[in-house]
Amino acid sequence: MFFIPSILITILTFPGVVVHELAHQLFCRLFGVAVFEVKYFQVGNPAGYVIHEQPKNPVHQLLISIGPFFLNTILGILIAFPAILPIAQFGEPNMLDYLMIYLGVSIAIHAFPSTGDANSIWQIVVHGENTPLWLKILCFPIVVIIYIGAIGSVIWLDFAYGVGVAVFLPLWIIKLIA
Amino acid sequence: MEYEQEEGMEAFHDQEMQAPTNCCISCHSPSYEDGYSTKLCTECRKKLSQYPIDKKVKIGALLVLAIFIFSLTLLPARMKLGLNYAQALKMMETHHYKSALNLLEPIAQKYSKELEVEIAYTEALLYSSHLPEADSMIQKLSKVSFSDNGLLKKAQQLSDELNHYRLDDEHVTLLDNVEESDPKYIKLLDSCLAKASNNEGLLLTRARYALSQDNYQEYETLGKRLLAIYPHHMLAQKIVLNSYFLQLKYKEAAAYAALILKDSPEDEFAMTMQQKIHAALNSTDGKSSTL
Repeated sequence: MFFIPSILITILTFPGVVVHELAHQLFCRLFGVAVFEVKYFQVGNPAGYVIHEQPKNPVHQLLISIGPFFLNTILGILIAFPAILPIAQFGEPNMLDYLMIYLGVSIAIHAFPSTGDANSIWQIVVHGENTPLWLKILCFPIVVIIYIGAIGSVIWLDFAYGVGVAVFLPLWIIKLIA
Repeated sequence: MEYEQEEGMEAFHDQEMQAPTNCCISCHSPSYEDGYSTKLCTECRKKLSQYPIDKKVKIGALLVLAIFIFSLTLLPARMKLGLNYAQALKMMETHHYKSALNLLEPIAQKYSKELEVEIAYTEALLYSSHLPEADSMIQKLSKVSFSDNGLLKKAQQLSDELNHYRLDDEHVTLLDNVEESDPKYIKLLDSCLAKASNNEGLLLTRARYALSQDNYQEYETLGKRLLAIYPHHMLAQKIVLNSYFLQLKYKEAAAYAALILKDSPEDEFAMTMQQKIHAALNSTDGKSSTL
């Protein structure tokens, strides 16, 4: 059995990191939240980050934190979807299809929010004085799921998620509709 | 990953330390927006929220966007093709070979080198009674080297299945030399059958000859003999059904057509015969249909 360092996976899937950080930044821009520094990609831990002020509205904080999850997932699925079908069903190799699958998987792998994202939600949304109870209740399981995802990344859960949604989900959808 | 201001931005912390406490930490103007933990005036907050996106990132994002749009343009056609293929395979499981063939035809044309598609297409051709086309596909597949044992086994099965409808080469050579109208033909055919009584091709030829002689009784017997050897013989089933119809055994014919359609719901011959039987039964107008 061989070991692949997670940093190597991060380097290989750097487009996903860039998309993830860009999503944080765009959500900040959307809600008018001041951004102080953005690192789209670096070889290190974390691979990327966005430093921003604490939003006034806790809902904005939640969306800034989990926005990349939706954006990366949707983008990853839609880019890989048409490319995976001819390869999986008809075994027709095409360089462009492989590129699309690589890009889709790379983006989907980095969909999961980091523990830093979870900490932000926890601090501001769950512990926030102005946060309504319904939002606290909604955020609690989100934070738990994010932490599980972060712990799961040790056993490549993020990788499995990326491959699952970008490669196996399209095939499953086709099978389900048929 | 995202950080709140408290976790980073030392420069801003420094600014905050140096600046008077009740002013914007960015421009030091006395007015700042209330309700935020970071003291910023409206202008500075707006400016900082528009934090510039790196040029390389912009180019990369445009590239990803272009690929995304390209992917969206591919999606409908490829999804339809993939869906059609999955549906065709599902249809073949329920023996709807004609519908499956309609779906598989354009896919087989597009992916003519993909063995799995070729085999599925051959199966649909074979069981929807397109025997010459199925035969040419089998010939094509026989020249291919298989790396997948499952596919090889399936191709072998289809080839064996198709062999049921072929005359052996030596018999073809013998019979081709004699005209069917020549009395020697039937003698030759019978002598071949005496040597190889279970040869399906010979039995089929004999049944065809019986039909040409309007010997429906023998036609039926030969069909049933074929079915005794090979219970799923498609042509034998049709012979038996046709023989019932020609002998005006409409009730038996209707029951047999229903039996074929139960197994192969899209069998064109059985469906046509069913219509003919209904028409014939209606025309007999309540008379006994079994003679």
